Amino acid sequence: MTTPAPLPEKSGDPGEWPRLSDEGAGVEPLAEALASHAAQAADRARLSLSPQRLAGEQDALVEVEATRSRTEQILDSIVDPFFVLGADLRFIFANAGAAQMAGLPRESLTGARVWDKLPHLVGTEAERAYQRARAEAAPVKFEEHHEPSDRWFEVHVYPALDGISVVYHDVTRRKRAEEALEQRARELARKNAELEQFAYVAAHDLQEPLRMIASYTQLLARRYRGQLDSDADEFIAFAVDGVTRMQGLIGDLLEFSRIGTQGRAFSRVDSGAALSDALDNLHTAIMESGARVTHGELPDVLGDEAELMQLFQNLVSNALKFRGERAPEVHISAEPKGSAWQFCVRDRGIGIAPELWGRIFVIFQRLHGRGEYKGNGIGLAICKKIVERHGGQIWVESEPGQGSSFFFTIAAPAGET
Amino acid sequence: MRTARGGQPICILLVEDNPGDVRLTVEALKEGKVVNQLNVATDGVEALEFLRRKGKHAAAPRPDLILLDLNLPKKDGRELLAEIKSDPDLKRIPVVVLTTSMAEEDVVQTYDLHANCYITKPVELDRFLAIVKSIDDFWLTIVKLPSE
Repeated sequence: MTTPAPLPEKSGDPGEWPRLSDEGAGVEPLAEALASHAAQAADRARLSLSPQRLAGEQDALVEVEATRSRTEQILDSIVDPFFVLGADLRFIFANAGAAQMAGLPRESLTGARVWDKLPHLVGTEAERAYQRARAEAAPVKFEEHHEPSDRWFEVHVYPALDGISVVYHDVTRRKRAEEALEQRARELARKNAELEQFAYVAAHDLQEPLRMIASYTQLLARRYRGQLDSDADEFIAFAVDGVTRMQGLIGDLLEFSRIGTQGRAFSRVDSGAALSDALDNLHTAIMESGARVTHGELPDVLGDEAELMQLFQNLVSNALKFRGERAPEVHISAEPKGSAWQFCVRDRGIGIAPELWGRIFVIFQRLHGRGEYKGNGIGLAICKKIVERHGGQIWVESEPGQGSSFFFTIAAPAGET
Repeated sequence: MRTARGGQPICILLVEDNPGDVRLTVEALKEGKVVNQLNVATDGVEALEFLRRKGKHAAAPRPDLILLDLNLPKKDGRELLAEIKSDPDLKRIPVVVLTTSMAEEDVVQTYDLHANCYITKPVELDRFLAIVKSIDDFWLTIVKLPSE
């Protein structure tokens, strides 16, 4: 026979008992302590048959009963439903919260099989979790919706003794907040898609009447320049200039809104090939500027080939455009960053003041007068849209007068980098 | 003024519903100076009546070239193209599709229907004028077409 573990000192302070933490992690020591006390009480009852010890034994029984009652009070004070099942999954203990949730008197639970009392749990996540916790002797966690009260619980199942202990933790508020958040995210995605569609349709449909205005103001200029008075020539010139700019903007807007609405599914793309295509498209600009474009080793990434080509083309084209006095020098490199590749397009151009680093990615933002540099301020906005559609980020680091480095991240094919 | 085929006037049928585009084509052809007869149909049904010399078009000439917009009321440009190209009397008339659409599916579909070429209308006037002039040069002076 083994020596029973010494009883804990009776201080009357429930604080010395193992307690349930928020996570319910204290259930195992509690159950073990209970079992140990029961075993001690039984031993004492068997050993202490001599009349002189009978009074002491009665004290011990009283003490056990007091312990049991106190334990029950403690467990009842925990509002989270909590119960313990034995080896055959019969109730050993259920606190008041558990009885209330089951909608049954507590006395009717003790000794009863859990599937008889809670038949609605058969075949659910709960049954699988009970089995797993026992089979793996490891805690299992799942979420359960309690229909009668319309509340959500996070249920923790712990292997305990031969059976399991089960703690329900009300997570209705968190769950509701999550649902609201998901709902908001869905709405936002829908509105965003609507907005993109709107921009596309608006730009597309505006093109037609605009083409008429442009054609006829240009026809006016072509046919009647110098035949009316000088005011008329000037007015026509302003009209032609305005409508030409508007055509450019509408065209850019159309191109911008096409990304995402007409993008293809992602696949493995050789970023070096995408860059090479981009440089082919920029051949004339590179030759004319006398630029030296170099690159390091470039990896395969997960993306849309046409969009990546466009991304490189816009960044390199900017590097050629915003050049300094000397011939442009552009270098493209890539390095692994977590599960993605971080690319860098570095130039030795005019650079960008730090306070403008955020603004340059906004659509139709121009930092220079029209006389200095052409363009509508669409290139970097398109870059940002492409990178974000690929789940990456884009940013710039620059020193005015020294050059700029544009960085962006694109995911690697699964399991690479 | 140049004329083709032994002094007969050159005739183009323009199928286009937007008056602004019709006039623009007229102006562009004026600068080209080849055509001396431009006829306009504003929908597919009228174009077919013209080609088959029905109703008020009983005395219509046979066009040397058809300039066809795709989006038309009543009978769509694609349907009209299909009817022309399946009509033994009309199918040898070259049809130039001239449209604002850049959609790849329109390009493929119209070539499948035996369009002779597909041109997207440029947004700039200068380029539009240049394109009409080159249609004019290519189809009416360079290309050798059957006499009927």
